[in-house]
Formats: sequence, C-alpha cells, structure tokens
Amino acid sequence: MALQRCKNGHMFSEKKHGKICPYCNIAIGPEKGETTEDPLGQYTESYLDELEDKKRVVGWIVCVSGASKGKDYRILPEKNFVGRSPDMDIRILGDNSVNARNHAIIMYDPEKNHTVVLPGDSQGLVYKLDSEDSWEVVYEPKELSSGDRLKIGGSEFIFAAFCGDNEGFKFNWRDFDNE
Amino acid sequence: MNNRYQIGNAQIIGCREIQSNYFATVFNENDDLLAVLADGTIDHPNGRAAAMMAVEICTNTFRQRFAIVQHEHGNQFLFDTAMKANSRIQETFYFGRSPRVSLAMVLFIGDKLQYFNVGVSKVLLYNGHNERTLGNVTSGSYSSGICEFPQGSIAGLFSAGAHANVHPMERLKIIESKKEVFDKAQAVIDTVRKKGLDNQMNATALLVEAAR
Repeated sequence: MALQRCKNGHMFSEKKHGKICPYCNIAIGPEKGETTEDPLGQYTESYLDELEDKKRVVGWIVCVSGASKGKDYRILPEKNFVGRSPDMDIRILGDNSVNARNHAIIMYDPEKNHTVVLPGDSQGLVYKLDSEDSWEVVYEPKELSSGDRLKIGGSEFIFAAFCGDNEGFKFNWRDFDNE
Repeated sequence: MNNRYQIGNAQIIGCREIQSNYFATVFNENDDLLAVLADGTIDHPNGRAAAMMAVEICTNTFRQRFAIVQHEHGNQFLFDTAMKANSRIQETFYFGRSPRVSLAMVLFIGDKLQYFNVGVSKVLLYNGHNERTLGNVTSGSYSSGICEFPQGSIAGLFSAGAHANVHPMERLKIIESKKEVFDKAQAVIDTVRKKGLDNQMNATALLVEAAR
C-alpha cells in the first residue's frame, strides 16, 4: 500500500485519499520535478490569516503585577479600549476585577503626537501613580510618558512610549510617511 | 520517513457529530520523534479546536525548542509544553464552557521513550508478548516517566474510544500479527468499528514501532 505522510505526521493511503491528508486537509508536497500546483485550488481571495495589520504601534503597556504579569499589550493610534471582552482593543485576561468592556481608554493623538489615558464608561476606576507615589484616580485625560504606572482593576501596568517625545527620543510615524 | 521508527495511525468518528480527537507525529532535526494525541470535549465545537490547538502547540514547541533541550530533561520539557498548551487553551477559550482536553505525548529518543499523559487517553507499550500501560492516570493528575524502547517494541497512544472498546487480548493479537504498523493501527480501529456500539466515542490509535 502506498502510504503518504503529511507535514503533521499523519499516515494515510494515497490510493484511498489522494494527495490530501484526511486528518488535517493538508495537501502533501510535490515530489521533485512535479509542478507546485496546489491540489486544493488556486486562491485569489485574501483570507483571515493573510490580513495585514494596517495600524502601526505607537506604544505599549506591560503588566507588572496581576494575572497577566509579564504580558505586553500594543497601543495603536486613536482610542484603545481596555477590558476583558473579545471586542476590546486591549484585552486583559484572568483579572475579573477588570470590567468586561471599556474599563479604561488609552488614546494616542497623531496630531499632537502624545498618548493619554481616559476613564472608560464602566464602573471601574483607573489609577495613575503620581509624582508623590500615590495612586490618583483618572477623571480626565492625563498625558502618559514612558515609565508611568497605571492600575486597572487588580493589575498594574507600566507605559512605554514609542511615538511622542520620550526624553530626547522623538518619533512620529508622520515623519516616515512624508519621506 | 525516518528509518528508525515506523508510524501507523487510524481514526473513526463513531456516533459523534464532531471528531474531537487530533494527533500528530513530528521529527526534529536530531531525528527525535514526538507523538501527540489530544482528545477534546465530546461534541463541543471548542473541543475539536482545543485538541488541535494543543497538538499544534506541542509539535511547534518540539520543532523549535527540543533540539536545544538536553535529552535528560525530556520529561520536564513535556510537562512544560503541556502547561503551555493548557494556558493557551484557557486564554483562547475564555468565554463559555471551557473545553476539557486529554493530552498524551510520547517522546522517542534513540532506544528510550519518555511519556506524559493527562486525561482519559492511554499510552501502552508492547514489548515482546506483553501489553503494559505506562503510568496510571487518575482524575486531576498526570503521569510521566521514561522507559526502554528497544528494537521491535511498539508504543501506542489510544484515545478513550479506542482503548475502552477493544479487549486487551484483541489488541495484543493485532499488535503481534505480522502486519505493517500502519495496518495494525487500522486493524485496531476496524475492531472498534465492527462492534458497532451505539455510544461509540471518537476513536484514535497512533502506533510507533522501533524498526528492527
């Protein structure tokens, strides 16, 4: 019996199943000298895994305390909604004291090239560590600079800027768009 | 295929609507072999997805990392990989009912095998005329260990549906027959199919033989 092995290591009979693995639907590669035509068909459309992320990163928050300790979250231009739901831009998992939706908003303003934190429209509060090392509730937009600490639910984060004026390092994607 | 190990596999869906068993075998650049079998929650869409995710995480981690892990740390590698798979599943299927996944992994290095098993799947070793269950898994725990895997031995990863519905004597008779290992796996699953049980679960048999 002519046995084939797909790249996931599934063994199957070529006589019975042809060149497509019955377990994972992967087409087995061509032998030397064969054409590279995909037996599953030629794709002309784009698929989910081929979508490019058109938005560019402008900064990060890194969890330093809480359920997601060590995890980083990308901040993209304009509003980034923070919560636990899958539709949130920054999704913090494992900390149930973070509200499901809109616990906080981290916003990057491309015009002014700076990042601010805003309270969300949910019940939870957002805190920012002030210069006297005490947690201050965020009631209105507060500008963030690298090293600022935020408390959202039971988790603590440090902000790291990429765009903006960051102690001498100045970056704005617009400078690169005009080149 | 590698000459050191022969691989056979077979699978049926049974009476279920979703095939939630998934498996893979993968060699790394050192010709070590990892065989993985995951069994997700019965008839639950997330069960199938979680099983596939578990297997892919295990195989990818093995491909990328195992070459730089010392062989004597194989058991730790298997445990760490299983924990990684679990954490990714919990993170991905955060909402709704969490899928429960049985995961059996066997790592073949030269004439030894190292295994890790959690859940209802079984890892069996055929050496000579005996069938030996590797580790005794109890609910909420896992088993792992290392044992000899000399030439001619066969290791089998069986999902619950394949293990529970074939008598050990039937299995032993098939394994001892003079067939190729692929045909042996097919014969085990054929035995399950022929019984035509009303409540037959997904059944998968994955066999690896150390070439003589």
